[in-house]
Amino acid sequence: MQVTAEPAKLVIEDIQKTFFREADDKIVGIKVLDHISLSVSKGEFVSIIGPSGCGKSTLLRIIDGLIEPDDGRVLVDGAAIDGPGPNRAVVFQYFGLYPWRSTLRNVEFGLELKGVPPHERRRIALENIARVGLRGFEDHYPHELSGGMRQRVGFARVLALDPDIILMDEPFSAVDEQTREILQEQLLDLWGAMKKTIVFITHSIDEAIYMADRVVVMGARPGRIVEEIKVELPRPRSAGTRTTAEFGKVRGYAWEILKKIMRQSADVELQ
Amino acid sequence: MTTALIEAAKIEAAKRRWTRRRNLAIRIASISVLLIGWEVAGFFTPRIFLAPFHASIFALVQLTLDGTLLKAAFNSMKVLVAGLAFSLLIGVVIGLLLGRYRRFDWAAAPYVNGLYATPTIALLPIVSLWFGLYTAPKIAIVVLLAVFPIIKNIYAGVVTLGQELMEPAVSMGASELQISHKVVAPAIIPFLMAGLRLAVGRGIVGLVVGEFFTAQTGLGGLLVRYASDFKTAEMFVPIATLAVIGYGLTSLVIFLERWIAPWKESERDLGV
Amino acid sequence: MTDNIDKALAAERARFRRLGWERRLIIVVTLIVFLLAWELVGRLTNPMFFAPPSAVFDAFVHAVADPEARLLHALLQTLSILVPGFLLASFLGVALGVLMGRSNIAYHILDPYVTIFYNIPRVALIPILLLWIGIGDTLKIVIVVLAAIFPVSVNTTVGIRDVSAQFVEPARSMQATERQLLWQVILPAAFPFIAAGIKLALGRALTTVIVAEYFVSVSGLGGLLQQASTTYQMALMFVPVIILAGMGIAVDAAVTYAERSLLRRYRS
Repeated sequence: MQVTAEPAKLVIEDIQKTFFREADDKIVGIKVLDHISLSVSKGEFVSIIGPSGCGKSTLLRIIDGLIEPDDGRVLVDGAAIDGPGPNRAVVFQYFGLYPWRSTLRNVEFGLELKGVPPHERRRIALENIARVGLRGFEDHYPHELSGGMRQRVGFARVLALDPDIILMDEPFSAVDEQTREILQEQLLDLWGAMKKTIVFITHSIDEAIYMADRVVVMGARPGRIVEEIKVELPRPRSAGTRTTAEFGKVRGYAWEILKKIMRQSADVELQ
Repeated sequence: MTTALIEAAKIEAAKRRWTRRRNLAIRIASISVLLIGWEVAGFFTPRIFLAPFHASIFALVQLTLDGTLLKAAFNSMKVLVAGLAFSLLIGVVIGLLLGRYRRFDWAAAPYVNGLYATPTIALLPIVSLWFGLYTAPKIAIVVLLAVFPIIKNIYAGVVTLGQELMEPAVSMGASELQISHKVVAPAIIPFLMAGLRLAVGRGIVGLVVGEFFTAQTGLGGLLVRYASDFKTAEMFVPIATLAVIGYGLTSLVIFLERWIAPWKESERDLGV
Repeated sequence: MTDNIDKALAAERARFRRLGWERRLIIVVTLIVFLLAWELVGRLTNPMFFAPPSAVFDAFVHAVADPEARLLHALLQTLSILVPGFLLASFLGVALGVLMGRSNIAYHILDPYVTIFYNIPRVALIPILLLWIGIGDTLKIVIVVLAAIFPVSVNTTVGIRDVSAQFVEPARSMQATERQLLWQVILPAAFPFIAAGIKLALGRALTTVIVAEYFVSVSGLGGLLQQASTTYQMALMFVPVIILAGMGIAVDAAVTYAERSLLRRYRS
């Protein structure tokens, strides 16, 4: 893969984060992120994968600026971030749509917050609703939509804001298998067309490898980056890609790493 | 945990403790401001308008010592408990019948709902004319107010639980009686507790209204008498007592509720 | 094959229709039995104790045909207290609830008072308020407000505090200001709770108006009730009762309808 000369789009510098929990009258500290450093180039698609509790969701929120790290910082285009900003947006696992707003109004929401005038908002929103394939559903309310459709509305909402970096927190896990594959294809198509930088969290090894240029494997307790795997499968990818030998090799490799991680945590548990 | 982590946890624990204490301090300060204001205002206003706070404390002690308060509280509690007992009985029976027998529901529901929707106070004069002027009408009012949350909750319980729990029993060949005893009854208890909790609150309102009306015995009667005699210090004593009784009974029921069953969704009646 | 399915469908539809008729029949029959029983008992007992529906109907007609329109007058008086009182209580209740829901400090300052007031049967405050405010419409409105404000505020506070992080996170990620967060996310999200509180408040307000009118100043429907009862006019007494019952039922139905249509979107 070509290494570009420009500075990395997104740099995560030595992030630390501890969470506290009350357990029988005592406070217990959990090191959720321990010395996390990662560099993402412009236009790159990075997957993050790891067992539960490895801090991947927390990391995503730190990148977006929703949570402050105890130590370390996040740099976008060389500048340290200070809370959420217009150059990043998140697609949540739980969709995060507002039930009292129609599809159109949900997609417009971010633009509304920015103070974009109504005409302009509407135009942008309609454009992105069409882009995710939901034309005709503008006046539907979330409760009238299926899970896959709701997720697409969430995605349209993010696209409407045109952020440089799109962060996705297990966006397809709340959706059935078939819809999932369709959404994966659509996401890759959109990514290819719009050349956004994407950080994509998932539980599924297959999904991680299929979608990404690079797979970051994280371990739990403490949350840390165990390994980064470059995925050099050719693009554009299709259903066929999943059955190639190359895919199987990468998958096997990733699986081994994960197994090692899980065995390690089990040992830690038993101590 | 590593030492760094343990240190961090200690700091966090200290922070949380501080917040808890701060909240408590705010609450105490808030009430104190009121009491001080009450005391000061009492000095600057004529006695028939408001007596200073300490006068009410004295009155409280006085009334407790000479037994007036206890006697009144006892009388009120008598009526309340009797009323609640009747409400439970009537409420459970009607609730069960409404839930179990669809036709009874069709027949009786309009009347039950209509009665529930009527501001019960409207029935007060009629009730007193029928039941006389002493204890009976008061109990009747309490019942009229307290019975409906119980009916509604029991009904909800029977209806919601009905299908899921009945099917296994019926398929195992249980008789009607067995079903009532072994399936419906235990399943109903959480709903009963929720209904009881609401009934207590409403019952106390009914108690006070009833006692206002007769103005003879009980805490409500004391209140009316003190107010009409401009006894502004004594006046607050029955009110405070009523509040304490209400709070105490409701807390008791909540405690029972949690002990008897972990709670599931029934009447989302956060208020009352 | 389709023949059997059609037959089964037809049989099912017929069964449904039969049940529908049965239900209507039962309702009508019980109503008739109820009225007849009422009439019978009414005729047999002392008119001081009980009035049969015929007498009540009579009194009703008289009251409606009254040249002085006292009934209408009373109804309007009651409404003139109920409506402002309820609206004020709702508005203040939401404001109070939002304040307590958003600010921890405000919550701990005000919560002792809210708890105290919640546990005092609101009617118990009538004698004291009467002493301080004196007879009049102000007193009645104050009483209604005090009775109705707390269900609204408590429900609002709970609704606001319990707003799901799933609503707040996306907004914060899109850099919503605190103000935008409150008005565009938190309040709409809390709306079902607020609505529940307002529904409770309405019922309470209605009861409290009547109590206030009954015990304090003889006006409105409560006053009518009181007058009729002191003069032992049983039949006349039923008139405001029936009107109030009707009001109660109508209000209940209206609120349920409003709830259903307004809250339709919140169903998932």
